[in-house]
Amino acid sequence: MDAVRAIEQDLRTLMRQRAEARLEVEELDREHREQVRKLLLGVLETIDAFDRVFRSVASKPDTITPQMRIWLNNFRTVRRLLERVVTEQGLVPIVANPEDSFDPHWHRVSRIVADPTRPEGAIVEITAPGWVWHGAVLRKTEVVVVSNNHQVPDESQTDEGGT
Amino acid sequence: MAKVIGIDLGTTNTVVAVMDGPNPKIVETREGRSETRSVVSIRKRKDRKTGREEREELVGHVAEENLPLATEDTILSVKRLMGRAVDDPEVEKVRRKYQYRIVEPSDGTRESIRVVLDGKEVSPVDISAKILRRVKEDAERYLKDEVTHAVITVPAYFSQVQRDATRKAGLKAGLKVIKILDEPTAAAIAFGMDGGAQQEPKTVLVYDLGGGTFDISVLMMASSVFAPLALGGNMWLGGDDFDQEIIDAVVEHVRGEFRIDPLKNDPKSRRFMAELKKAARTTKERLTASQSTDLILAGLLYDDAGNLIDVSLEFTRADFEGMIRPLIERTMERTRQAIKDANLTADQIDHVLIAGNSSRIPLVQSAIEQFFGRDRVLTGVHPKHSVALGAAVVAALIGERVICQAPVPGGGQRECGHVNKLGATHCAREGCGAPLALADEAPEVVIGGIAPFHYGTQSVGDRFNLFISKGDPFPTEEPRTQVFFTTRPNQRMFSVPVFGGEDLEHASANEKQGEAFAILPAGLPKDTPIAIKLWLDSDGVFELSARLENGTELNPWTLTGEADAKAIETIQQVEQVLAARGADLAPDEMKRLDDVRNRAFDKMRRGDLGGALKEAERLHEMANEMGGAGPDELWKRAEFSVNYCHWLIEKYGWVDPNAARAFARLADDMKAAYEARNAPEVERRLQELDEAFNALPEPVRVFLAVRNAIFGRIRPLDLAAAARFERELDELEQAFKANDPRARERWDGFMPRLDAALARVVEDAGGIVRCSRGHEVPPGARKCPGCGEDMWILGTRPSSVPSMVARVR
Repeated sequence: MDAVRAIEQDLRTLMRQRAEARLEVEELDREHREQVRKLLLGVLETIDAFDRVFRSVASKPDTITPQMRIWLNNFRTVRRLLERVVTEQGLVPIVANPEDSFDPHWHRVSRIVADPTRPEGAIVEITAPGWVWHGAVLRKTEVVVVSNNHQVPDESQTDEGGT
Repeated sequence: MAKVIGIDLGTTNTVVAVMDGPNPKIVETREGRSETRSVVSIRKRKDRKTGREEREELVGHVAEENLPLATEDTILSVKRLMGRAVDDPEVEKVRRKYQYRIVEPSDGTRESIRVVLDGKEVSPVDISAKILRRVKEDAERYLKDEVTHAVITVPAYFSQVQRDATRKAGLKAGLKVIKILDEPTAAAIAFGMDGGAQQEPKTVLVYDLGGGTFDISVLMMASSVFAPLALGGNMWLGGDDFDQEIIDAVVEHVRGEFRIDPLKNDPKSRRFMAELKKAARTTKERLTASQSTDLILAGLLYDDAGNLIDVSLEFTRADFEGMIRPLIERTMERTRQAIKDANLTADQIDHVLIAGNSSRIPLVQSAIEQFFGRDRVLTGVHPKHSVALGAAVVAALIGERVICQAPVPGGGQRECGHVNKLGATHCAREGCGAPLALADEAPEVVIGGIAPFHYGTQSVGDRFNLFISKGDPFPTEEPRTQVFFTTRPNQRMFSVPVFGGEDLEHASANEKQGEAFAILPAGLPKDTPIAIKLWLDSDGVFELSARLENGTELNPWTLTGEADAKAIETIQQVEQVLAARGADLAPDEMKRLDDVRNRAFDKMRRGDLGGALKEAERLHEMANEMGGAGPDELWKRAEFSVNYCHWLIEKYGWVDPNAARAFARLADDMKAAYEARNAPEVERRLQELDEAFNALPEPVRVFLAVRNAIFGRIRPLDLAAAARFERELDELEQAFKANDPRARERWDGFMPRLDAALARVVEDAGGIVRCSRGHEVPPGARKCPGCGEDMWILGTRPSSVPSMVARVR
């Protein structure tokens, strides 16, 4: 009987160790995914920064010299390289159009504007594209939205970072 | 058995964990996150095809995303509102910080609150239930199994009402709550301190620094019992304040370097500040892992000429630590205070545990290690998850012992699922009674505690009646019984205010923990004994029972400030109105009021609190109508006078048929004027009626005077005697109506008895009820107008206690 009990004990130990190992693998996998997620978000942020610079330059075409134009093309190439990195990782852009309605599942408000000629929640501008990664939203599309009914919220309204 | 989960229902985030084999693990949300934002919002949009406005209820991160478009319809930090009263200073702070509306409930008292969501009043319990329902669904999706039961954590300082509110939220979310667990206890268990086999008592300090709150708890752990020795913290200090230090530094930099004020209230500046807030949080997180990082905000800030300004600022960990050091020092001050409050020294703390995501900051950890020494500070469990993980461990440890897994007859795979008391051997659900799994095995852990202070009730004269002594273990094994007495004849309600604290003499010198309430049968004499038991359950929540000497259980319930309290408050107001002018009311009015009040009591007894509230409101309305108050007073008076005429004709028309016909005509005229809403005519008719009432035939006036004496004088003090006299008067009136030759003789016998009864009640109560300080109190009133003493609470008479206890046992 002692031998049976010992085997039973060993079996329990093995089962526990197996479960622990599985949890550890899951944890490592999650950590790895989280690191890649952070990396991709960082690259997207860089791409956004390039885009904002290009938009700003485009708004003042008279100030662009031929030399600047060459440099701008160089920067555009760098931007494209970065975009290739993210698309190769399986990132798919979220399709969003101005005049769509704001949907918090897919969009994030970057700014609110008042415009009585447009319906409440209408998107008037896309300030940064959103991306889907492995079937889940990695980053929502940042949009400028019409709101005529609401006060602009105090940014400190959202509590973040802890439980 | 279906899965049992552990839930850390947090102010900012809610985290769920479940046992997977021998270890707990975090349950991922449908978005692949480890936490759900504790936020609820309503998204409104117009359907393009139909043009109809549609509403979508959002919970979690997506609700938070909806905030900019629905500032008034997005509820954040609802945990701060759980179980609180309208006038609570904490509620005021929430009101100042957020834009959603917090109001006094229309179906509750000022002891509770409502938030306004989509134009409707919603209780904090309901908002929390929405969050819990969401995490339940996510857990079911993740586990691919039904989730039916849960352990939910609450801060150790949560009051009885707040714990009860959390439990109700769980139930509303479709979860059977097997335990409400203190957050520090959960954290301790996550660190492996279940204390099962441990005999030596240990002291544990839990330092919990979250996003917006800081809690410090000193616990004593012995044989699976975790007892809080001291609790402290700051409900408005957390990681958000650290972010703010970085934000302030960047704003200063931008002002100095670029001569731009990013706090200007224009759209671009607001956008920059929103991004800065995100970047500050990221910077804080990066500085947890590295010695320095750059905060870069490119292409978001414009100068006056419209040029894009890139902001790039290097932060070293030393810079950051310099900024937040005063904040950390504040937490350490609270820590020192908590240790002192526990009557311990830092050397006497055996283990220090760190919880809350903001505790990951190296300076926090080094401050704690410096204070306590590295060897006593335990690490190894992610601070963000430790509370939920501990809850999952407890859920598994006690779930199998308390949840009945017997199949429901004819229910297919469905299990009974009843949550039994720990230690029960068979299911207590009526009709089940199945043996419980593992009932024979001694539980590895019984998570109870010790009473942090004395618990007792308040009786007349502000006496503190001790039931549970500080340091008594809970769940209470053998509750003490004490006997109290009604303080006046026909007392229909009594309340038992429960206080907790150190003062053994005066109840009100301690902190009120809650109030139980019960309804008494009609007609009980003064000094009727009521045996009360009070105990703490395994969650440290007080429970109470009350019974009469004849064994009648009174089933008291704890007031929550919701519909029950509102109904009682309303009845109390009516009692005061009636007490002040009861003698002016006609007998049929008193009877109608009594009927409605009894219906309200019946509904309360049956637990139909909403129905009871409706009856109480109806009672209030009737009393006001009869009292001639309210905005439509004239119409109400007119309607009442018509009804009164009809009652008089029906009751006493036989005395003088001519007078009856005159009254019928007056009533018809009044009805016509009233229905035409002709105010001057109604006024004129009212005057006419007044004159007619004054000229009532003599016998009618005598009958009415007798009726008023019974209802107005005897009934408030002796219901049974009043009922006897009323019955006798009815019979006498019938005898006179039938020309019974013995009527006169009977009347002559009746009147002296009535006089004697009137004299007796006047003598018994000195004509009025008096409080313990001797002030006059109108019959039926709850509070003494002289000193505010609660007239519903019971009195004590220690000399007779032993015999009553012997009888009720």
